Amino acid sequence: MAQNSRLDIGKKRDQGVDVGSMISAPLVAASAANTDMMRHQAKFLMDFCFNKSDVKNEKGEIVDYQYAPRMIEMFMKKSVMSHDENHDPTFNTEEFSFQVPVLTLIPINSLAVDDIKVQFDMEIISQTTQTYESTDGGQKNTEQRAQLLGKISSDSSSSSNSSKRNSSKLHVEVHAGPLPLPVGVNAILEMYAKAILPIPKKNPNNPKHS
Amino acid sequence: MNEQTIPCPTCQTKIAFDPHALLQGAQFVCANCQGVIGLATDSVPIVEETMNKFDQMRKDAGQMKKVDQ
Repeated sequence: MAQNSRLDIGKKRDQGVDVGSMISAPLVAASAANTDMMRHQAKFLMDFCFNKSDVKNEKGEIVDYQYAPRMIEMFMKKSVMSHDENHDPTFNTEEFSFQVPVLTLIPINSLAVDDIKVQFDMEIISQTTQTYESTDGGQKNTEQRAQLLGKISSDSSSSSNSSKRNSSKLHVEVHAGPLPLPVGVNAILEMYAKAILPIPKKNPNNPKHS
Repeated sequence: MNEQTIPCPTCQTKIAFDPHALLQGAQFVCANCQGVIGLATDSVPIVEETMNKFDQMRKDAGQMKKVDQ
């Protein structure tokens, strides 16, 4: 079977392939690459930015999974003015801690194909026309469609030892750039951003927090 | 590339930061209330692991940038 496929490909190369297929092939490949990157990114988020836990029923069987964002701790230092016993102003540095999801720190919006350039010269080998006839309400409609068959133009080069080399060049440039955050991730970040609550840390110099 | 920001815990102003610098111990200042934020020492290993994995994934994707056939 594999041999037959190879023969078909060889035959097609000589006969040429549909121009539409030739143009769409790199675009389909780039789209598949984009999907692949998105899948990797989603897997990364689930594996490293969330903690997975089992949800069990009364019998102890796992019926579902629960994902909770992986939290990290950050601190905040702030100068606060207060008054001492003589009512003179004094400045103290207070330290707070707060928790945020680790995915807040990751620039996760930078993995997507945003630009594809396909360049190639093409030789039209043959063109065919097909006629389609249909009847609509007793009226006969005739439609003619043209199909171009071509191949990527090749350069021939001969070397001194009388060997000949044909090469075809298809240049595909794919650029991955930043895209906006997915709506779901954005919702999680906004929810946690609104819920950030600074907790005062114990400070031996400040009797209020000791 | 979009700038990474985190809301200030006290005034909600967005504080711009660089995750790699944050990991190295850099602290960032809120433009509104002058509060200074930084990463707690206990959280450094988690962030380091996550950033390394993310950088690796981005590096793998970058290798797909140019394909000549």
